[in-house]
Amino acid sequence: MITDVYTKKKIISDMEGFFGENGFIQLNNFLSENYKEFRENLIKENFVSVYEPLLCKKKILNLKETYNFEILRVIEFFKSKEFLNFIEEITEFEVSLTKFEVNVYSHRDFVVLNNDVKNDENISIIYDVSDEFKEDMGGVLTFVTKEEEVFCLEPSFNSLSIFYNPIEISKYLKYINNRSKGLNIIRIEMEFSIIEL
Amino acid sequence: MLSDWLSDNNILNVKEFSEIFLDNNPFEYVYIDNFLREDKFNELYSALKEEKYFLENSDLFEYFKTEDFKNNKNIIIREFRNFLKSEEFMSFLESIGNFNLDRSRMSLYSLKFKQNNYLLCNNGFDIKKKLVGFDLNFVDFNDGEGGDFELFSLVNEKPFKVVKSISSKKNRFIIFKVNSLKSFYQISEVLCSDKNRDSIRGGYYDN
Repeated sequence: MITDVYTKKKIISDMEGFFGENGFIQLNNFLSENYKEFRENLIKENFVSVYEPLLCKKKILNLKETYNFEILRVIEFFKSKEFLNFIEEITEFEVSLTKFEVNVYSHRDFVVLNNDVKNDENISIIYDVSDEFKEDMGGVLTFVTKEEEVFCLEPSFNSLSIFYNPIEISKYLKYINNRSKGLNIIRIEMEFSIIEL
Repeated sequence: MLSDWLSDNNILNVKEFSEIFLDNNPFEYVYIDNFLREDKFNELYSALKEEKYFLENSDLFEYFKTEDFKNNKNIIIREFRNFLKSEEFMSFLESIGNFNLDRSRMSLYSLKFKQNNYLLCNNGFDIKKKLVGFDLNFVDFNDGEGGDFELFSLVNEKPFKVVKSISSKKNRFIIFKVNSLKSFYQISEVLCSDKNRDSIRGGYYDN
């Protein structure tokens, strides 16, 4: 399912080096198949609205009530040993999946900084099948420390982004304004705890 | 001094404002329409149009803000600030909300919400123990144009949903009690492109 180029030894070694140096890597055109069907079917599903005014507003897929084959096929891939091995190779961490959500963000949605203290560093992974967004529509995912912004991630269709999150990093998703006119940010958002170096 | 700035009706209606303020839900607030005398309101808005605004942008908000007016050189803005800090006006406010305000401290600045600007849910609280917040609106907004001052109900001590929405109206003055556990509000996204939600905002502090 992964685009061939990302499975070549030399490329994996390069990705490893890039991730080790930057704590981040984005792989465009990540899946070679099934992603269009995934996206098309996903948008027809019933999402549950989540609104906690001090935290976030978004729509989340109820995985327990999702039976669509096209969707489940992609979800199962991201939960597979194959994908886990791929992540472990790039990050050089042994990791364990702790959070798996399929989220949709559209006009008026947001995620603000969460001041809860994180106990551990982790790896965040985002697989994106969003519409094309412009920066002035909002929806940029911003990683910050107490002092500064360290990274911004814009929606990018069929991309996989991998982040190393030290304890001091928090993130927020900028409020999506009405310039977005019916567009959606659609993402599989995963978190992995780091078992050992 | 009150009559130099306030519309006559408003000076006389303190008791009514106080009853509304203290009874209101989800937290104490009242808004007063035609707050300033029309000539003063127009002078003040003209002065405001000369001010410099700076973009403020974070996870919670995006809007334009002036510096605090405490060192402002514009004579009208300085007079307005002196009026808000006068014994007469602070007593007027204290009568509305049964407050005990610190005479030495006040914040005062202007916010401009352009198209797509917003302020997400917050409690208006700051570390200096703000007790009362206020917002003087300069521009009429109609239904569907956004820029509303929206108040949240609480469930399990957390803000739950918007239960009151107050539109921006020319010369409308909103006063609300700041309580870090209760006074959750937001300003909804401005949806129209042909006007800005201009206001003078500020706060008084606990004595």
